[in-house]
Amino acid sequence: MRTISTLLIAMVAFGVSLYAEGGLLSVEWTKSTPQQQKIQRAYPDVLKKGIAEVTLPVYLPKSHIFNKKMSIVSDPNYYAITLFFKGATLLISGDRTYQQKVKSGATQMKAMMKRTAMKFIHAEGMMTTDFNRNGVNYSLMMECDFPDKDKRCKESSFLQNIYNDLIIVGGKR
Amino acid sequence: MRFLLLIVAFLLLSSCTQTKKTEKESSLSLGTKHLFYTPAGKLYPNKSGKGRVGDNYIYAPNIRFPIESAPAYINSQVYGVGGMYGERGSLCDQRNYQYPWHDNYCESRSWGMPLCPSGKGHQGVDIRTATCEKKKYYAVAVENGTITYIGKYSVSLRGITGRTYRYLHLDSRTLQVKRGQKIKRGQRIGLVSDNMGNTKTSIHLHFDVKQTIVANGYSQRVFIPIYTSLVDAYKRLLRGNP
Repeated sequence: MRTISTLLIAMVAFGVSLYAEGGLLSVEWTKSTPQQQKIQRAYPDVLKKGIAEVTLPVYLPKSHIFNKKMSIVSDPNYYAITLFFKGATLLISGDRTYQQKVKSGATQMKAMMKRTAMKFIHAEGMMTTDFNRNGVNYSLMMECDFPDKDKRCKESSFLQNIYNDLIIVGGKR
Repeated sequence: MRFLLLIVAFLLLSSCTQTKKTEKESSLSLGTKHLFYTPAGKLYPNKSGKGRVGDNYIYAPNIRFPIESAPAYINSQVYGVGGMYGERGSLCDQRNYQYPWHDNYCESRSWGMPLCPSGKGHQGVDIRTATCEKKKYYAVAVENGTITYIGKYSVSLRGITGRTYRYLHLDSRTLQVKRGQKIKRGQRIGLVSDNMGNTKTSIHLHFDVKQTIVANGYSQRVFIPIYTSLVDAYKRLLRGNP
């Protein structure tokens, strides 16, 4: 009897693998980085206004904070900052929403969603990376006008430098 | 006790039936409109990689089909006729413009993809328009949202659900949207083309969807399997209620 009941529960648990309900991730705020504390100048208006309502840490490469040509699209739970380079664009985005949760019994899905080391990926002619920081999710995406010739979209070094240069420039706690 | 045994027998039987169903082609016919499609995860040809066979979960429910009008054809660009690893011939070969649809999410690629069985693969699906003509068919918004990014050959839409939908290879000169613009489900984004900067590609829409999944107390933003959601969306398009 007990075996049959266990079997039934296991079958139900494996049958459906995800919860469809989404929600908001908790932001794990950390102390300001040393780089952030050193910045004395006021941020440009485009940046101040663009991220005013965002409720997650906003990361931007330190070397581009005063780039007035950036474009920002945001809402309280998300931001997308585009930086423009000659022959390329860089998208930096952060997001604290989630759309689905894996159920405890869905072992196959859980294995696939295992935390792995951050990678720089060359896909569809672009160089990209995704990472989790402060409990929320961020992406960098580099797109080039000449994807098969431009090293910024073929090799990871350019994006790696952008990643290493990221600092928190805002976000409402 | 007998009742429980009956339930177990029923569940086992229904799971076997389900497996059989996933192995064959499915179809939908509505007057002159038709759809034939192979199951999610069954990549074609077999050598093109290993998909998520048996995963029929609709990850992005109720999205609109990303091409404005039917017919459209989901199949491989790389392994199709005229593709890099496909049969020799023209990219416009009629065999690329016919049913059945074939899932190409997780098709062999060199880049990492957590949800692909091999850990690597294609991030989305490739969709051909009704005919092999560029700048003729519109890609449209799959849900209400905001255009968050426009690059040389890609456009990103963040839907109100928090999912990010990426449209690749649209003609950049005739885009109907601007960065930051709020758009409605079904609204035109741009014309499907072969734009990939200076790199050659076939006339198609690469469509992929990113969302955050929480597992093991940790969250990751990943490209989700989108084929089943598109089959569902296309059926609604054919029925006239996209």
